[in-house]
Amino acid sequence: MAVVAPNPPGSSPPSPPVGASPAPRGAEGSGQASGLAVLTRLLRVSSTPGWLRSIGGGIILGLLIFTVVGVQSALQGQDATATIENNTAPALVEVQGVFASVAEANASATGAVLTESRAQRNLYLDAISRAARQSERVSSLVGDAPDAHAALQDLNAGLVRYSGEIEASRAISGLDATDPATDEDETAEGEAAEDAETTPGAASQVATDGLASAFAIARTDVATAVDTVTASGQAELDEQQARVGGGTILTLLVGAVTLVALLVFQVLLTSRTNRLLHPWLILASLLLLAAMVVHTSSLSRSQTALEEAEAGGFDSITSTADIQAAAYDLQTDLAFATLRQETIDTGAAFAQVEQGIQKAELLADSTRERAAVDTLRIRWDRYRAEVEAIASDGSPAALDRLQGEGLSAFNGFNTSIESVLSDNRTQFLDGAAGATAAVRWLPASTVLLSLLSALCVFAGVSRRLREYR
Amino acid sequence: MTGRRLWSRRETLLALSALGLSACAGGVPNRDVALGDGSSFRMLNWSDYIDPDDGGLEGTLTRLRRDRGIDVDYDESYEDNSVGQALFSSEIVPYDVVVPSNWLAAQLIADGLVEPLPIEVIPNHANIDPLFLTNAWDRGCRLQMPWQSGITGIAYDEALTGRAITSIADLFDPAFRGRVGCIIEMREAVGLGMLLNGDDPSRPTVATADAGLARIRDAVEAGQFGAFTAGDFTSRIDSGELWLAMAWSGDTFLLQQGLKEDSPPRPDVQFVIPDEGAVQWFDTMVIPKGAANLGAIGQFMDYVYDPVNAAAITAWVGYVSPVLGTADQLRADGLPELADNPLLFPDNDTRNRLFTWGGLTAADEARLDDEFNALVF
Repeated sequence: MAVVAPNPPGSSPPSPPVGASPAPRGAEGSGQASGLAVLTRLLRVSSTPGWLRSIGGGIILGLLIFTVVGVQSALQGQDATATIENNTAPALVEVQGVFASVAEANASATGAVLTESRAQRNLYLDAISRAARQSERVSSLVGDAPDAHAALQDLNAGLVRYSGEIEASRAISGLDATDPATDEDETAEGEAAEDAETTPGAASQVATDGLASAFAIARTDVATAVDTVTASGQAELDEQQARVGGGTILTLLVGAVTLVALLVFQVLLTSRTNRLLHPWLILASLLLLAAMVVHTSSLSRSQTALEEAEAGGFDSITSTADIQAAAYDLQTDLAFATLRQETIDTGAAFAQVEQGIQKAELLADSTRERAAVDTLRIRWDRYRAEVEAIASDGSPAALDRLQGEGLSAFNGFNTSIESVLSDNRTQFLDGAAGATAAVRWLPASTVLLSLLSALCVFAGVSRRLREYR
Repeated sequence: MTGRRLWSRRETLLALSALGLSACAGGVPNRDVALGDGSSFRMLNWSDYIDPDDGGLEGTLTRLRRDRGIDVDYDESYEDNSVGQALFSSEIVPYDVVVPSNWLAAQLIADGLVEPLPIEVIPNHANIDPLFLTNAWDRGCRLQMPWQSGITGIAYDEALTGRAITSIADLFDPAFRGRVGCIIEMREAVGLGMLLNGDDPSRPTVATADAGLARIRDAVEAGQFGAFTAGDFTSRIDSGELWLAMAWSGDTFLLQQGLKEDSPPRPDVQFVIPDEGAVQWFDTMVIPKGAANLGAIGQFMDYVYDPVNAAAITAWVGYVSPVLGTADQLRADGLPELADNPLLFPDNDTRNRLFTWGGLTAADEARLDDEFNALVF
């Protein structure tokens, strides 16, 4: 290392004796002197060991402050990313799953109520119990957000009322009497049966009205609750994202001040010791610089991962959920119209779904996701063809088709939406996990690098002091 | 959005971070599957489950090689699901594609023993019949792709039974003692017993499954069953040894068409889905964890899900195709009698009376397997 041979102690520029009088005021008051010159003069008034200790101690103190601030910032980042990974992101994903499940329940409900099909009833029961499980899981993930919990209570109440209406309608339709019912079922069925007319035609009408009522609950209560929980989750996501890197500026500021002090210290030492380089202090500077770079790099990688996850994953999830909502309404309208042998205008719903699929195509950013969206389009085309055929039929046969080919095409479409959701979910959750991984070692590396830097400062100052003696 | 405000700060900070630690950079993991560049793979399937080269006609595997340059090292030694259970319990599965039945596939998926499908190279994934997409254990078929599906109902020779068979109860009618065949697959035999009890095999409980098994046990003890069969129920019905049997739809179809070895065409042998319903099952392609050449495997799956190739397979194996468009293709191929055959393409009413085994815990299923096997073997 290129180091000028050390001067013997005492050969450096003479230090004023301890207790020497301060420099004349005129020199400070000239206004010409730079900050460095002022500092230099101030230092000249104290002994070499004295100012070495003072500045060295100051720098070490700066490094300790940097450690504290940096670790706090890193822990905040860790906490925020862990919250996103373990709570916010899964809750946001899961709540969209509730929507898919209710859509599937809705699609099979008509068949489950109006026919003896146990297979369709099983589809309905599976879907509604899955929705309840997903809602429960969301509940355990949303933390202490009061609006989300209130919405989830509404969601659960909506699901109970929804399934109550379906069971009541099923009881009124007088079918599937052999299927064992739960106590809840029996209560709902009993109440409904009391309300129903005794003539078959009237009972059928009451059953149809009950279905319509259930669909309305699904469309309003459930959909609104899902929207509310989603909005709450999104706000939480934004808040946590803001926390990641929230302490970076302060950390960098402290680090930068300390680094400047360290560099100035070396310049001063050079001028007073005729040494060009001070290896320990250079090492200390590099370690501090490394700590600052690692800190900002980790937090920015964490933020990048989250932003990519949100842009590539969650935005796609919400976009796909919009498709679901439109298709869900369409299926409900179709069921209403078919039950009442009415016609429906499908134009707006078709346009909305088409728009959603186009958006999903644009957002797809991997070959796997593109493949899933391609499948979604094919399944949509099939479902759309079925909807058009059922909607234009107008005969009682349309109901059979709704429960047969129509249900099949809807389930194909609905599960293909879930596949796209699944890819987005993977991307979103992977992004959240990547954000957590990026800051996993940050507190430890901050402590390690800054304390090593402080040790180097200590070593460098000690060496200079030894040389002085 | 509050998070967005950090962009400007972050951009500034990035400039600093770019000083030297760019090697630390990470990001969202790549979700695309490594497909490999090999053009061959090993597949284990049940016997007689794909159309072979036959006279001047090329089978599916030969056409695949010609059309897509994919070679399949095809092994037909999957005799029953115990083979699959043994394979997947070993450290290395020496196949890249295996075709277990649906219930075993569900267990393998639950145990994390299979790879996700490389759907990016399977555009015909869109042709999966939605019936197979709604299984709770793999919604959307992301981890398995059905090969063929079948129905376990009742096959009978009316000339011998002397009457039409319409109910599962007929299998237990003492009038047919010793002339009834019982299938050796626990979930199908017990499933039929459950349906007779008014229980639903797609939502089994330990109690209802035990009650279904009790039906079988009582019948065994009463000497009701003359044979315990797999696909050999056809030869036993053909020979008159059995009058009626729990039967697979595909093998019955082959018997009716005269496509079973050593049996003449027997269009008089009926296959019925009993009033109580029947058990539906499917065998499904799964990719064991760590399999290589996912690209070639995906190409194969895509190929067999092209209705043209699916129709060729259906015409040969006689089971229910899980591929949409197969019936239309058979009509286009001049085989409307196959396209309109309810054993190959059940209508909606029939489908609504089919139940796929829903599954219990692994321990309960193992116990049921043990108890059932003790009765039939």
